[in-house]
Order: sequence, then structure tokens, then C-alpha cells
Amino acid sequence: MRRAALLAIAAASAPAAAAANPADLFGFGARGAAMGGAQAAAASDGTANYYNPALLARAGDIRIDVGYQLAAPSLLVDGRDLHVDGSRGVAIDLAVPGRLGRLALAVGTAVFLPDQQLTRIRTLPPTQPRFSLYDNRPQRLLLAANVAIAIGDRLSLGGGIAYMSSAAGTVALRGVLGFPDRNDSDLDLAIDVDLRTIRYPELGAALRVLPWLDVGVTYRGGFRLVIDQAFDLRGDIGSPGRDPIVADAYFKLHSISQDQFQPAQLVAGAWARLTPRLGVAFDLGWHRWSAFENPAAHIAIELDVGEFNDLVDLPPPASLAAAHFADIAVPRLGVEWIAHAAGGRQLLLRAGYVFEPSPAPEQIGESNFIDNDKHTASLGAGVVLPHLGAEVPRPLGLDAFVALTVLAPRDHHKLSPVDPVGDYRSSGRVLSAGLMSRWRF
Amino acid sequence: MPRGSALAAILAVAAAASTAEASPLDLFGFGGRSPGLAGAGGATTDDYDAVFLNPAGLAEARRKRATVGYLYGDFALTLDRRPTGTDPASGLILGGVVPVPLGGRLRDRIGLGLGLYVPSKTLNRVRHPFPGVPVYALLESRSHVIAIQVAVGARVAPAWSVGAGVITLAELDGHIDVTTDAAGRFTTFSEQRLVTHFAPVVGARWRRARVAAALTVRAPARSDYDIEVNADLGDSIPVALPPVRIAGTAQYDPLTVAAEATYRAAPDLAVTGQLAYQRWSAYPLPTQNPVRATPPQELPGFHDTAVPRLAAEWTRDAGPLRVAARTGYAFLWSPAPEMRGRQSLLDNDRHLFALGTGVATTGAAAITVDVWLQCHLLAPRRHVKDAGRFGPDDPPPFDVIDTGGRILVGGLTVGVDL
Repeated sequence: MRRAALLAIAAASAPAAAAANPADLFGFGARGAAMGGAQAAAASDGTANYYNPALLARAGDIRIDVGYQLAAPSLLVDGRDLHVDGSRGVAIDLAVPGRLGRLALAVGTAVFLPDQQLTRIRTLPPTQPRFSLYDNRPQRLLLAANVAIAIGDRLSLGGGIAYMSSAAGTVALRGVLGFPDRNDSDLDLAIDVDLRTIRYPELGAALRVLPWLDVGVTYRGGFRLVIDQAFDLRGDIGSPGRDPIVADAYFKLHSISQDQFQPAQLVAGAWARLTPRLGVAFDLGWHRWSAFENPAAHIAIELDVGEFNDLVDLPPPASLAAAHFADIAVPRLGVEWIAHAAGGRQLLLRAGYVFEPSPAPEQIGESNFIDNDKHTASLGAGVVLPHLGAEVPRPLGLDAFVALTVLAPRDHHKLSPVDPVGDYRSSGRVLSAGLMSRWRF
Repeated sequence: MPRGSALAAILAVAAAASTAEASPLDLFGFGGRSPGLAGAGGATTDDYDAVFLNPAGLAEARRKRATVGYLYGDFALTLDRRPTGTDPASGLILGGVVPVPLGGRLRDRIGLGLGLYVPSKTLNRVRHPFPGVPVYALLESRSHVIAIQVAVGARVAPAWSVGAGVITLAELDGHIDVTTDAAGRFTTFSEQRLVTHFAPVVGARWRRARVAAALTVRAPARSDYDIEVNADLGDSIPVALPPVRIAGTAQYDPLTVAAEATYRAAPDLAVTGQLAYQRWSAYPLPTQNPVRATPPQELPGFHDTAVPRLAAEWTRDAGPLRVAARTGYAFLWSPAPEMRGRQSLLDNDRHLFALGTGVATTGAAAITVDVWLQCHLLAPRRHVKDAGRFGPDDPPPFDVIDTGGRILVGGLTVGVDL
């Protein structure tokens, strides 16, 4: 009964969140997502800004891709849906090739702009059941800008910097803290908060080993957002206009938490055009989840309330247990088949598969950072239209994909028989889909 | 209480907050050429800086160009001749312009532009003292804010082009709840969202051989924050804390309408005049009262301003190089009245003197280097509090205060034709 009540509270109070940054979880662009994200050597458009910036150097023309993607999770604990928020937004990328003397280079940028918000920061108690890899992490903007150069005809290198920021600062209040009625409070506000810059790198290399075989490697830096907030209240306690009950009291609360963790990722991949119509891509990625820390808030309170001090009974600070996440290897497989080609028109069919093992251990203690092994199957199709009149003389591509991620059911057995949440089983699925138009100039 | 949050950059999107101030673009201008013209250039630019100056200029872009640069500014502001210790400004300038190679009737008519200013240390700063404490309301943190702009320009007739774009900011909202869990320990539920706010920029340009005219309208750009804080600490302390609302406006650029004309007085000399109207009368309170019982704050009482700019650019081809020398002057009329009441949102009239130079190689792989320097001299000003507006238990924060100082800022950009 108690467990059911707590899970119901969790479902009601944590209606949030879905997966890793949106591209990590759902792919970026319809072609890549349809091929299971196996694009470290196979990306052929502006989505290379995410998958492997070195591939931008192979663009022969200006490429602008615009599309829309969404993902609808249904993540369950003991069969109860935690109502994790979906992710949806506009995906845009740009690749601009050029030459600097004899050097072939390209610049590019990619954005996933969520509909709901640019970024959401959320702090929950460590005991709150949540799907850690899906909890809030896709609720942010993805932004990448890169430069790539071609070295000879076969090798290209690329890289760029992406930005995030973490918040740190203090809000100060001064005046009169109402007592006995807190609503009588008369306070002024001062604020000093910085959104400090966090930079993380994206690097890539691509090599055409054989006329039909490309290989690529990509590194994406990891980061975590640290939210360091202090709340400082100084003044008298009493009613405005009267002598204070306590003069010069103070109350200070300091909270440090983390959110939006992104593991460092190293991905190696190959793209083989086995026949003129059939290509196969395979990626193997290493994700450094062992750097994931318990994201709950460390809270410290100091106060001096004069003659009320004897009535103060502050609990000892809660110690946050280590998350004990593990690094994981993620294999991805994708195929693309040109089903029809005539007069410059093409019809392409695509499919992919991903296995992503869970980095999270079974939740046997106080924390409830839930995650499961995940199997993703994807399908997609694309058409290339060669000519849309004199104004748009270059080919236009239209791509679509749909993917289903299944979370393999997992049981979590608590060590403590009086654990407030108790044993439970986690499971679920995520359905994602998207459309993208690909323009060449 | 505080708030946190995140976010960031590169192409589109992000950013919030500073101190109900304006952006570094409004303060210094944008790009490598325009700051050397004291912020003018909307009638003549065909590069990435058009995203801010006048998006119609993107229609004139004929080469793909990527630009990177750096800005550094030193603030020497004083309150009663004592330095305020204002942090210097430093940041990265990134820009790109691409002529869209369409065919048929759209050939050589469309251009896209992107411009970013990314501060070195902070993507955004929210800093404001208690109401009444003297502060340079429009200068103190103004340069510590990221700016992201995208725009498109189109030539609609041989002499006419138009353009539109957006400056992207962000607003922050959310809540922080501090409470105790079942074991009596303090814990936090919080959720803060950064929501996109787009400020449109539109422009039109008319251009002939020796004369060009431009009109640019930039909608108000503001970045607000609004966080509710509830601390329910149960029986841990004997005094209940009230719900606190941390709200205000971190960044504010007013509606701006700029009309500009350039006359080519000689083949190598262009003279530009600009008059900009800025609707500062809509300037909001930097911070809202945190609790309901606090008496309402005095409004800032800012007024609209007109900003005249005068600039000249000399260009000459010298073998494989094209060199340019630039200079400009602007009078930046302060929108802030004398602070005689409870607010102390200080500002001064500023005289802006600018110098700049540029060198560009010609040919297939052109490289353009621009350098500029601005000196902002604050006209000395005295604020005298009206004692009749304060009571014996509520003295003014100061009786008289003198304000003044200068800002020195410079930048370097390097552009490469691709």
C-alpha cells in the first residue's frame, strides 16, 4: 500500500522527462535515425555536424536540411506509467563547403530546437523514482557548429565546440520576516547570478579506405551542469512598523545539484556500399557513464534567529549515495537500399537496429535511478526529386523515419525490507518519428 | 531565491539575463566594420553584420564568408569619483553569410546570415542590487550576455532589398520547493525552464550608385526571469518562510527604429548619417518585489531617446589589397532621468568616438581583417535626492552622487571567403 502510494506520488510529481540529449537518444535527421544512428562514416548531409563533423568536408554543395522530430515515451514502474514528457522539435542543419586557396574546407551547424523549452533544469530527491537516462535529458537544445578540412582525396578532419552553461549565484533578501504571519513579510530583493560558460568539444575523422568503404571516428565531450544556488535572508523578525521580536536575524540556504549529464562518447564506424544500390553501416560507441554522479541537491542551512534558536532542530545533512553507473558500449547497424532510380529520381528504403545496455545498476538501495537495456528498431524511406523548376535547380530530398525503442523489463530488489519505495519492475517503450527535407544549392 | 539554468549556443538559440540592461550589440554595435563607424553601416553592409544592422543587406552578399573575431572592453566608471570595479567585457564574435544560389527569377537575390557574440566567461549575468542602491543600470553587466541572430535578405527590385531576422533571447521560469522528506531530511524539488524569446529585426534598403538609404526596425528584446521559491521546513525552525518570487527583467533592448543614409562623396570616400529612435520609456523594473506585502517600487521613469550617428569610410585598392579607414561619432542620449526618488538606476549621456581600419585581399580566397576601437566618454552628471520623498525612518541611500567615467573597447575580426 505504502509503495503504491509512493509510486503514485512519483507518477504525479515527476511528469517529466525523456532520454539523453535528443540526438543521442532519437537520432538527428530522418536518414540517420532510420539507420539506427549508424552514421559515423555514413552521414551524407548536414547531420554530419552531429554524427561526424569530418564528413562535412565531403559536401560538394551548400546543404540545408529542415525537419521535425518527436518521441513519445511510455515508461512504466510496476505497470504504472510515470508520464515522462515527450520530446519534439525542429531539426535544422547547414553545411557550407568552400576552398581556402588549395584547401577544401566546410563549415556547418546543427540545431535541435525543442518546442517546449530551450532547456529544463530539474532537481528531484534521490529517492524519487525516475528513468535516469530519460529524466529531463532530452529537454534541451542541441547545438553544434563545426569546421572540417579535406586532406587529400581520402582523409578529412573536423571539429567544433558546443556550449552549455551552468548557473551559480546568490539571491539576497533583506527586510522584515513576518511573524507570526509570514504573509506580513516586507522584503527587498538583490540578485547576482551568472550563467557560466561550459564548452565541450566535438571532433571527427573520416577516411575513404576503398572506393566502396569509408570509416570514421567521432569524439563528443561530456559535461554536467552544476547548479549552485544560495538564498540569503537578513533582517528582523516581527511585524512591519512594530519593534522586532528578533533583530538582525539571518537564514541562509545553499543548494548544489546537477542535471543534464552528457557522457563523453567515442564512436567508430564503417559505411560499406556493398553494391551500387545497397549500403551497410555499423557503429560501435563507448559512452562514459561512469562519470555520472548522484544529481540530487546537497543542501546546507545556516541560521541565527535569536531567542528562537533554542527551538531550531535542523536534521543532519543528507549524504548522497554514489550512483555507481558503468561505461557502456553501444552497437548500431543500419542499411540503405536504393529501391528505385530513374531520371535522377530515387526511392530509398532504410532500416536500423541499436542495442544500448543500461549503465545503471539494479536499484537496491535508497536511490531510484531507473534504467533498462534498450532495443531500438527503425525504418525509413526517402525520395530524391531532381528538379523543381528554374528557381530550385538542384535535387530536393524528403526523408521520413519511425523507430521503436523497447526497454527490456527489469526487476529491482531492495535490500531493506522497510525501503519506502520497495521492490519494483521497470519497463517501457519509446516511439519516435520524424520528417526531413534536404535542400541542395 | 536563486535559480539556475542553462544554456547555450552556436547557431540558434539561447540566453537570458543580465541587469535589465541592453545587449552588447546595442552597446558597441556588431561586427568588424560597423563599430568603427560608431554603430552605423546599415545602408552599406553586405556581410554577416547585416543580421543586426539591417537584414536587407544580406541580399547583396555575393560570396560565402565565415568570420571570427574577438572583443575586449575596459570599463572605468565612477560613483563619486570612486571606481565601480565593473568587470571588463570580452567575447567571441562569429559570423557567416551565404548567398543562396537559386535559379530563374530568384538568381542572385537571396542571402542568409548568422551572427553570434559569445561572452568569454558567462553566457548571461543577472546582477542587480537592492532597490535604491546606486548602480549603472545600463552599463554594469550589459556586455555579459550572449547574442544569437539569424536573418535572410532578398532583393525585390534592382535598387530595393528587404530583409528579416530574429535576435534570440531566453526567458526563465520555474519553481524551487525546499521541503523535508519522510525521514525529516531537507530535500529539493525544482524545475526551471529556459524558454525562447525571439525579437524580430526587419529592414529595407534602397541603393543607387552614389547614394544608399536604409530603414531598420528592431523589436524590443527582453529577457525576463520568474522563479517561485517555497520553503516548507516543517518543524525544523520555528519561523515560517513566506513564498518568495524572484522575478525581474535581466536584459532589455528597446524598440529601435534607425534611418540611415550614405553618400559617396568621392570614389573612395563614403559619408554616413544615422538617426535612431529608441523607446526607452518602456524600460521595466529590474527586479520585482519578492513578497506581496512589500510596498510597490517606484517606476524607473525612463524616457525615449534619439541617437544621432555620423561616420565616414575611406577605401582604396592598393595592388592585391583593398584597404579601408573608418571613423565615427555618436551621441548616446541617456534615457534615465535624474534619480531624485527611491530608485537609483544611474546612467549618463555618452559621447562615442570610433576608429577602424580594414584590409582585404582580393581574388579567389579573399581574407578580410578589420580592427576597431571605441571610446565612450560619460558626460559628468550629478544626482540629488529629494529629501521630501523620504521619511526619518527611511533615509535616502545617498544625498548627492556624481557619476562619470569612460569605456574603452576594441575588436578584431578575420573573415575568409569560402
